[in-house]
Amino acid sequence: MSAANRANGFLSVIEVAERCYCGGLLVLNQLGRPLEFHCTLPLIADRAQQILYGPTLNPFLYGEHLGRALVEKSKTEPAVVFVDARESLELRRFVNHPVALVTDLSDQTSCQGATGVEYGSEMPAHHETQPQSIEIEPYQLTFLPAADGDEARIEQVVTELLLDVHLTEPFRRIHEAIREAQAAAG
Amino acid sequence: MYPINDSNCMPNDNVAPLHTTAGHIPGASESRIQSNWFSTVGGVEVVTLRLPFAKPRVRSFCFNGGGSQQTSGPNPFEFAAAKPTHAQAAPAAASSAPVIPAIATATAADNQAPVHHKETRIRPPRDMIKLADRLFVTLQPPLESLLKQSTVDFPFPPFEHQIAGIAFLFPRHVALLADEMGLGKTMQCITTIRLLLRSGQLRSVLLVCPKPLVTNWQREFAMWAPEIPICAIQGDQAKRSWQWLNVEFPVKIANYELMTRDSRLIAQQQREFDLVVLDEAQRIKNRHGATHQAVCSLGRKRSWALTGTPVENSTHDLVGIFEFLSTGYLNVDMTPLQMRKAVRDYILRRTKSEVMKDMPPLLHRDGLLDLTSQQWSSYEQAETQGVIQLNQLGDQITIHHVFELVLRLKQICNFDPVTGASAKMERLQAELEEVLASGQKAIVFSQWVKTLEQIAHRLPEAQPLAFHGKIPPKQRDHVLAEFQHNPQRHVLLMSYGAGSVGLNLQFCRYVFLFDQWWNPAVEDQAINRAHRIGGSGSVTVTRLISKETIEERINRVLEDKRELFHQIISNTEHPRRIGMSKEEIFGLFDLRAGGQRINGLTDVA
Repeated sequence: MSAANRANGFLSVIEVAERCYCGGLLVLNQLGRPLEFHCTLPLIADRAQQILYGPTLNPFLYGEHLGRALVEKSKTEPAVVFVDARESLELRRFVNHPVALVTDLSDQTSCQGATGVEYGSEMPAHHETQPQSIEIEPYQLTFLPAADGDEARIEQVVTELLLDVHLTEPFRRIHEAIREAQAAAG
Repeated sequence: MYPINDSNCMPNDNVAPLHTTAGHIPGASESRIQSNWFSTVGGVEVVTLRLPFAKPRVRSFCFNGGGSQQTSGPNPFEFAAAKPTHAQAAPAAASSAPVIPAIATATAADNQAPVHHKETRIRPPRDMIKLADRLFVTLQPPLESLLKQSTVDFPFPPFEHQIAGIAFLFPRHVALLADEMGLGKTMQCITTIRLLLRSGQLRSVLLVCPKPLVTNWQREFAMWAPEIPICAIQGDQAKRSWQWLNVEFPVKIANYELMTRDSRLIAQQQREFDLVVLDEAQRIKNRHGATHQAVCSLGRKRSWALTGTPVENSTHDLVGIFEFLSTGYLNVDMTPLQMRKAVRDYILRRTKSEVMKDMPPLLHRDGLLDLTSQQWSSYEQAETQGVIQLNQLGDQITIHHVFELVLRLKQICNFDPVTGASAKMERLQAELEEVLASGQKAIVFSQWVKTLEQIAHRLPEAQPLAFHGKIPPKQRDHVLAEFQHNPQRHVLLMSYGAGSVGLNLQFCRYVFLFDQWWNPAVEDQAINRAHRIGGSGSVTVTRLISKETIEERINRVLEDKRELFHQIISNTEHPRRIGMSKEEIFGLFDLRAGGQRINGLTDVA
């Protein structure tokens, strides 16, 4: 796919109420214009699930459960899926394209993980690899090196995207759209 | 649609098995842990449970063509390059707009803060019903990004609040831009029209404004949207008829008086405009007026109104404007609070103090002056006799009788009719000496042309220019250009009627209000000719008020009205009073006639 026709996904999961999660996937073209938007209905993790999943609950929900369901709905295959929470990196195990956590180094409030915990320290035991990072000013891109070529692909896409898209901005659109959808639901 | 409860859990197609020994499992009752079988291993009873996690339900939206629209339709957020038209070959001739001095052209992107530092979102209006449409708007990039990607150039970078104003107008079919004067309503409107034209959402726009402002709009279009062919409707009926039908010009500009005259003609042509914009929309506040009827009869898809003073006297003013915007949406029986709530999504109001942190300061100096002895003599005589005459009228007295006396007294406060003595003139001369010495420029406002002529006669050294009803409209642009560019011209004498709206005189540092208008909003508009964006320094406003006279009494009433406006538009408090009522007018004098016995108007200003 040529750079001009390339699409990228932006995935964010937010806790809309206590233990209640909504995921949103925004697929943008190279200019940052929306092509598709997919959002989940709120999903509740009950107390037993919290206890039994323990520290793996959020990675499971963000990446495997919600993230995977959203990406599977996408009609346009994204070159890279950008995420705003470390927990969502888990998605890489279930999709064929790179998944990169975006951290704006110029923004001190930038997300370090939805739970506020360094995800690498609580990776599931079955993970052989730990997250790696590259820096493309002003961002740090963190990814699970699940396959050869992820780093190169991420670097290429980010370099092209930066001409027109600020990498953390689309997440704000997703959050607003989720709120909009919830408001429409009454 | 999205209930947040356990019923959202989907069938058990995503199962995590759990093996545990029998006993209490915390939360088991509410987590639907399913007990599937029991077994015994080495004498220990083992319970195997499954933890169901519902497969997420996903709602999907595709935006190939935009929201819920057909995929073949234009994307409203794609600002295509301007298409050349036949009319565009000579836009300046077509619009007869004066030539704009060369201004360094710069793209918005060049001048804006970096995109990631400033994000202005276009948000869906509340009357946009379909979720797909709302999401399509919500998910667009910030307006700064859209502008950066387009070929839309600006002569100079818009301010942040102007970008926000464009984002407000862009998706709306009904909108009232009520920014305080001087914040650039014209630019915001023109730029939004430009974007909507480029994205194919508009093809025909009618802009209606007061007659003196037609050339001002032409100038502003030439500056902010030079590629758009515009046509000022004018000339005899045959010419106007042709102009109304001509589709070569996507933007037509007409004045209110002409609209009243041509409304039948337009109706016969069955024209429907994609957008009708009313500038200085307070002109249609009277729902029974011919102007109101004429503009409300226009066929249109979008209706916008621009005014810095949507409420001049009462909430009825706002009802009048909304009759054009959305007929029947407001009614006069609504309380101010109900009205405020109803219009919240349709009105955008910013004040200079809110948005322009670097706006030049506005300094008010009320010059309370004692009348000269000659003026006192004339004034006391006139008031005494006037009140006696009013009382003699008994039940026949009307508000107009009171008005006549008020005007006579105000004129005496300006100049003594017998000797020409004037405390205000003495003060003005002293002040202007300083203005002239510093090389600055000043505007002097009065409600009377005769007063302005008297002032001019007393200021030969200042070579004042005049801009009022007696100056032919064709000469007015020349007067303004002369005032701006000729360093020998320091003073402009303006009437409130001719010069209080739409003019940009931000190079002036001094404004003198020789007398006061009935309505503080008009006075504010006059002040804001000078106190505008782009002003080079502080603006000093001096109101000349004669002490212990009708002027001081009126000033107190006007201060109350000013407060009323802020209460209705700016905060949630109930307005204390509405307008300058007949009781208030009668209250200016010690009259025996009671308000209930008077056959006059209720609202006068």
